[in-house]
Amino acid sequence: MELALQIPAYLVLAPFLVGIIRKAKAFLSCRQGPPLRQTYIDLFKLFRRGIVRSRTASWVFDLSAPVILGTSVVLAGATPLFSRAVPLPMHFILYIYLMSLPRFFQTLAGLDTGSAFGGLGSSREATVAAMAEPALLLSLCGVGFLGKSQLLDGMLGGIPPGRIFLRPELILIAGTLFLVLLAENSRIPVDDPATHLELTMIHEAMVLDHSGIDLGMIQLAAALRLTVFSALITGLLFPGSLSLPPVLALPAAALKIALSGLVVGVVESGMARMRLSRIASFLMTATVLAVIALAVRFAR
Amino acid sequence: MPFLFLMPLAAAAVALLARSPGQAALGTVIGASGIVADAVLMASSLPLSGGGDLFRLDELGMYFLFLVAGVHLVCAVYSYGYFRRETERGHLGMSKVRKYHVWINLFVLSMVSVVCAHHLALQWVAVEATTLFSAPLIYLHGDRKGMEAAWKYLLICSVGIAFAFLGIIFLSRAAGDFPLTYTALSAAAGKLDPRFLRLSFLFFLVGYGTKMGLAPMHTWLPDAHSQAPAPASAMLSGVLLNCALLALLRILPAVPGSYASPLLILFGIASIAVPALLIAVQRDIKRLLAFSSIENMGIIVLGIGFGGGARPAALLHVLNHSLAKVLLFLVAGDLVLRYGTQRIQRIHGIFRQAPLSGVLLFGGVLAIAGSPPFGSFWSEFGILAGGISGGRLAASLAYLALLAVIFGSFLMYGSGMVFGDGNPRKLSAPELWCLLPACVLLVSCLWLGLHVPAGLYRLLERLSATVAFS
Amino acid sequence: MNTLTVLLLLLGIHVAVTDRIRPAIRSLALQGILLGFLPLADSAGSSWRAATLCLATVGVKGIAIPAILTRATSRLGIGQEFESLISTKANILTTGALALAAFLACSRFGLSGSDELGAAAGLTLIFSGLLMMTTRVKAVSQVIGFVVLENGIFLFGAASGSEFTLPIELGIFLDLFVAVFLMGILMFKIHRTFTHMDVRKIHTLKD
Repeated sequence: MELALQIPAYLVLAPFLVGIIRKAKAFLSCRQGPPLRQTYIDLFKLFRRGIVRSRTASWVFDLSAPVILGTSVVLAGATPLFSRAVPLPMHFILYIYLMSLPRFFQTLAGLDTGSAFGGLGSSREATVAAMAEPALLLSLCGVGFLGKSQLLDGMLGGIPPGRIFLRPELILIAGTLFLVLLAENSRIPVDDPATHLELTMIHEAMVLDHSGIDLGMIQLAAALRLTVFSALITGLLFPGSLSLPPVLALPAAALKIALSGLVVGVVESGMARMRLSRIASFLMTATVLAVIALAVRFAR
Repeated sequence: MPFLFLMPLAAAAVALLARSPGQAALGTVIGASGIVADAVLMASSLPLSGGGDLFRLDELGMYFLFLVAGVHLVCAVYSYGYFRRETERGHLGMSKVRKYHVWINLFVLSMVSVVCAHHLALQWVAVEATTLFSAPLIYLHGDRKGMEAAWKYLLICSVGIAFAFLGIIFLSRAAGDFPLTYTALSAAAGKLDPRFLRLSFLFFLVGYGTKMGLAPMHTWLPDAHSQAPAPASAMLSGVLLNCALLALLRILPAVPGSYASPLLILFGIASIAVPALLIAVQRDIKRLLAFSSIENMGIIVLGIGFGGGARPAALLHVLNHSLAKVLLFLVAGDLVLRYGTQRIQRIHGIFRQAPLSGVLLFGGVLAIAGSPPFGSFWSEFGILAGGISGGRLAASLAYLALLAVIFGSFLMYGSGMVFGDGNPRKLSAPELWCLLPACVLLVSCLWLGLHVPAGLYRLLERLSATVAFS
Repeated sequence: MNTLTVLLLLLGIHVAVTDRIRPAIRSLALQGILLGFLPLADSAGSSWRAATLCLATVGVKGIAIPAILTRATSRLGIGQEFESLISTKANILTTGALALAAFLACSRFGLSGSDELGAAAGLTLIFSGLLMMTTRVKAVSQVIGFVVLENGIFLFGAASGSEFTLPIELGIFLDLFVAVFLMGILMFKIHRTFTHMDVRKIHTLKD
């Protein structure tokens, strides 16, 4: 029962998370902001629209949106949200590779249409992703050592419960993952999801040529990805939330996701976009943090 | 013992209130004589201790205390003449002279604490304090070079000393429940954790070695010693380096010789070799002397590393080096003022123009180079003999070859400056208070060379037993 | 305790990798204040001793030294950037490598006592302080590096369980304070005579 609910729960929570982030950012800049249901409405609207595609685009372009959404759903199935068991138990290396599969298709699709911005966005996205990879890999390794498992659900579920403030390595890993979250999901300070200036875009530049249901799928996939990361981080910080009774589990999951949305919103409002050349330093710092987390883990 | 600490403090207070260079110098001289007198009075009732575990004055400390106090007294007398001339020429104002006397007395206070410290951490505090109190002396003139030298000095020595503190941390791990006093450590020699002891010794060597100017951590030394005013340079070279040496000597009884000896020999040879090369191409007289200090510290460390018969010779060399180096710095300071340059090439024909200064300089050069009628010949020879009889043949030969190079360079510079045609410019009149202390030093150098008193010899034997490796 | 140590470590790494001076000084101050809680966390000593040490640490490392540094940077009109001999990226990577080396050294050679994490963190701070002193160009940043180094030694000493009698500990603080104070004064004087704070250009003295 719980297993069957997990993927639908993710699908429902994903637009909710995006809405929370927008709301938080709006609130911090003293605006009303769109209502929470706006993200859902936008998605429905997109899903009902037809597709306009470039004449030069090939089958890769057509394939990309379904693959991106499909992979993201699979990832959602592998990441524990409200229980230790998941519908799709997965080795963490496979998990990391599946994380980059949507990006692979997205960059291809960006190049495929032959537009200048698509190619620009693709190259930047690939650079950022390549630099975020080691941090992600190292921090998941760290989680694996903590949870004594190589399966993603196993490692998150295996973290012994205890007071989070007494376990620095956990905080460090969560911090690293948060930096990776910002980079991988095109948030400020790495990328600005709300920018209208094509020259500064990273992620948005790639999806400029997508429209209608394709764009809807990509946006849903992006929201899912963000939710998956949030679930990962909050799962680390609150290991107890994965073993709650079923009645409490769903509200707790929503609370976790809302909390991470708030944090992302606050961080985004408080920071300025970085120069492209400094992203490398940013992600290197994340990697160094992950290394230190591992070192701290073994220093005991 | 409290008297030892009060004297410099009182002298510093007098210097703060002084209205003329003479008054300030008088205060310092009285303070210095007070320390000497106190040391003489205490000499019969050793060892003395005070402040619980913190202070203790034993024979080794007393030996170094006499060095500090004696050199301080000589330099204090000299500083009267030196600063009178500097102020007359308008190089320095009264406020600078006052500053000099305040800091030099605090500096002596910190060195006295090094000598009297019983607890090694307290000794560390005192050694760090010597750095801090001597830094203002280096930039006394307030010119660019002085600032640069002081900055280097402060930064490099502070880092070096920080390493020595790591050594203390490791030592406390090695010592376990034993207190970190040198007596307790030498008593517990065999019972310390050998791994941490080795680490600790290494860090002590690097840390206090930086302060002693051992190569390759010596880079600050030539700058600092050449930029300070002459009496301060003399104090820095003549006694401060010895204080750092004493700090290192204090843990030797706890360290196994098989580990410490090769390290000391290595650093010793390096510290003779590097200056030997640089002395040969030196153009600045005070830098020349500073490099020679590095070299002599190398000789002493080498002698300690050889052990056996070389150890008392090394301790004797501490005394000989101090006397000769202080003599040279004092004479050089006087000449620099009178010639208006530190360039060796511009100073020539001293003997013709100022015979007494010429004799003093040449005597000092011979003494520092280790030429026979002077004391350092015997101590350097003793170290060589100890090395050869201890079976350290390669190191001894290298030592001998390097000494020959240094001897040659010094003789070249010395004869170039002392002999030859005089400077066309007329020199200012000799200053009695500058030359008198130098004369005293030259006579004592010569005396130690012609005849080492039996009492001193026995003392050195006893001292070298207290710093022997475990 | 462990979390405190990791916080100290992170602050040190922040000081080491940031390329702006003000945030570095702020982190340094926070680090000093947190260091003050180390003696309190250690229950072995008497409470008076711990309280005095805490006050001294917070006073010297948390307040006085950062105040001197802030004053120096603002009065001398030193720019915001650190200016390093190596690029920011190389700096981050080197710091990471040094941290790893420190942790490895501590676990391989068993340098520490019970608190391996503290010792390793202290060693990391020592390394990164040395790195700062050797690669940073401005005089202020060298002093910051020196203070990081000292904090590292403090942490390392606390983790190794070395403690001395109160007068000695206070003497150590006094020394550190006077050292930084003197460095501050020298910075002012150097600035006045050289009109720049670039250590690279201070090299009239050489052979």
